Amino acid sequence: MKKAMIAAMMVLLIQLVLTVPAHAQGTVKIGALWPLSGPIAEDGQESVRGAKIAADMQNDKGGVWGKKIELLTGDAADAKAAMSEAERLITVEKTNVIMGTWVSGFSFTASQVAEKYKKIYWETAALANNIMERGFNNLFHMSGLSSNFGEMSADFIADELAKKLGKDPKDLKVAVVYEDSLHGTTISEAFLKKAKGYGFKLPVVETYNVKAVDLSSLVMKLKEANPDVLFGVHYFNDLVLFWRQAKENNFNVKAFVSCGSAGSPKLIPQLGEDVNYLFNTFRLLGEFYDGQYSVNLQAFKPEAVDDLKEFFKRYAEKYNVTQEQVPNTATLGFSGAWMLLHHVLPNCKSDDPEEVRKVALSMDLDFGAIPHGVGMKFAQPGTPNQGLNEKFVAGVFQWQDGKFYCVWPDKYAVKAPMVPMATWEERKKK
Amino acid sequence: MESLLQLLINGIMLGGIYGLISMGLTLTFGVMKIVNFAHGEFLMLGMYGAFWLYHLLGIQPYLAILIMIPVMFAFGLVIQRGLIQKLIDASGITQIFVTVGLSMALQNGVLYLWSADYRGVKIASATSSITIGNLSFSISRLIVFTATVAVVAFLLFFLKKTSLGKAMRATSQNWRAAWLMGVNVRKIYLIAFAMGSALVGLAGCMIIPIYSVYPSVGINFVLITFVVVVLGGMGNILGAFLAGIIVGLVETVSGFILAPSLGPMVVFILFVLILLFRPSGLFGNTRI
Repeated sequence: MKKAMIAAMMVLLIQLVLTVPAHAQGTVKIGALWPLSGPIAEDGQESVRGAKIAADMQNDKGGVWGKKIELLTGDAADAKAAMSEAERLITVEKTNVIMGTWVSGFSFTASQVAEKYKKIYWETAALANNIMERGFNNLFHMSGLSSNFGEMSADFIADELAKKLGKDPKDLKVAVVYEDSLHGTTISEAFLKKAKGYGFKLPVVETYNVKAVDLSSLVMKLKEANPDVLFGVHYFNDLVLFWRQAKENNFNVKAFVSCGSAGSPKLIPQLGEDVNYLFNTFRLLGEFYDGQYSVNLQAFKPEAVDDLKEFFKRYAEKYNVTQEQVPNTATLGFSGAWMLLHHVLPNCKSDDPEEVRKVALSMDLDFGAIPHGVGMKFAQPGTPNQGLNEKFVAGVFQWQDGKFYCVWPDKYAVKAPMVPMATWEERKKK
Repeated sequence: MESLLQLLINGIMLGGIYGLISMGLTLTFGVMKIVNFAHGEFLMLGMYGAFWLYHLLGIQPYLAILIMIPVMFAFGLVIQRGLIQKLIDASGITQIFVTVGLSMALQNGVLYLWSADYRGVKIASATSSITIGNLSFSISRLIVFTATVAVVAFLLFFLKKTSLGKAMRATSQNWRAAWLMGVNVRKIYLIAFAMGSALVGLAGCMIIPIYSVYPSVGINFVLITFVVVVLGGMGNILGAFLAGIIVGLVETVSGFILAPSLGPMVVFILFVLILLFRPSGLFGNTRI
């Protein structure tokens, strides 16, 4: 009996000795809250993969304060789950900083929880303007809101397309079609405001529902109006339907600038070569085609280029894909997380939310310092959109020969925009 | 004028799609008097079937009907025996809840299996069109329309001329009388449901070159299908076909004249008005 007691105590002691160093060393726990199940799981999982590679890379540089960064994931399957998972990450897992969330509606609720507990919410992707309009003190946003993309599309049409088409912007007929959810409406309203400033003629401004099973009346309306340029905001499925019906009804336009899903590589299996000529205004997230990035990396800071290349290398190795197959959701997840884990946290004394907030607000990195081309300078408390990254840039991309290249602004472009678009008749002959 | 003609063509072609999708529902409702709220999900399964056959085995969707019709027929048999038959005498509410539950289960099961990704089939005919003068006819839609006409013709022939079809009509008109005359009503229900399921499987194959498939795709179609079935006279095959065309025309023409976003609204206003003034649908409840 006595021997057994001693043995048991020895075992306990050994366990204690083995576990103590791990505790003593500790980790810096950061929440990673993305949709991991449900309809948007794929994008969420890719974002987490990106964020994890950011943590790995920083850990290889020694982590922060001599500790490793540990990402604790939460599953924001929907707006409600985003809330309860944020609550769990804060109260149970004791994280002081949460990164997330991709979907605007989920970010909206999750960031509310973080604000309640005065913890940092680090949004890497969500687009909706209303997220940042609430004046939260602990919410930071890395990469552009809906309205940015709408405005930028108008600039592209006025500065570049008008010139290419040999017309004054005031003589340019621009048709506008968008899906009628908050996503389409916010982007298009920002576009229309700018478009009116430029004096575009707007013969058609129409909305449709994303669940529509037929868009031929819309296509016929456009055909009658015969615009020079079409601007549209779509999700994936409706874009495919719209473009197929445009082809079926032989609707030709000189340029089609889209904001939304027009950049998705998943369009290729559905549209094939018909995808060519489509423009999409988007973040500066490129693809590596035969080792060449589809955004001009000369415009980026050398350190950011190295980080980006390292990320692509690691992703391709870890998930056993070619660099061409790295999805840009992962790139954005990486880049947004990198801003926190590499640029902000190492400058903090601890992960105390007040400290992180103070350091984040004091950051000022120039454009191109971050792997997706942006800089880092957050709108200060008391200003509109406080916490929003003001050093944000995006670009216009175009599908050319089934590849997606940045074509504008010149600084980031690797190809010249192909305008006017070939008519369906001309495409057939090719 | 040209636009108007083109719109009419587009409307009729769209009506063909609506008509084809509603055939299965019309048949099952006509015979069994049960509204299958999972009809949209049956369509979704048909579309996935066609997609996977194309994606994995390279079978063209129009040929895939040879596989999908028997597969969906068998699926219909299982669902009918396992679930629907038990609901025949249940209250309308129970029937609705069970079939809605089935639709949710199918949607989420597919979501789990195949994710929410949009999947589609790009075949050459899918987006090419024939041009006559300035009018274009989309080939894939013409094919669907032809299929719809063929299905309607087949069903009318089957119901009027074959003994099984006659037994179905008898069951539809008065199942007790049919039963007393020696018709095996249980078997008729089973076959009618399986046929409805096979027909929507066929529809899935025919429309996959036009629409992407994803777990909730059925929702986009099922509401308009109900409209078509009700307008057509709940169980009237020819009525459903014509109602499909009317709905397609109303949607495209009003979408053009008013606004594209208002097209579906006009359809539903028309639907409400017809229910108010002609509760048995445009073509009367002639039964199948």
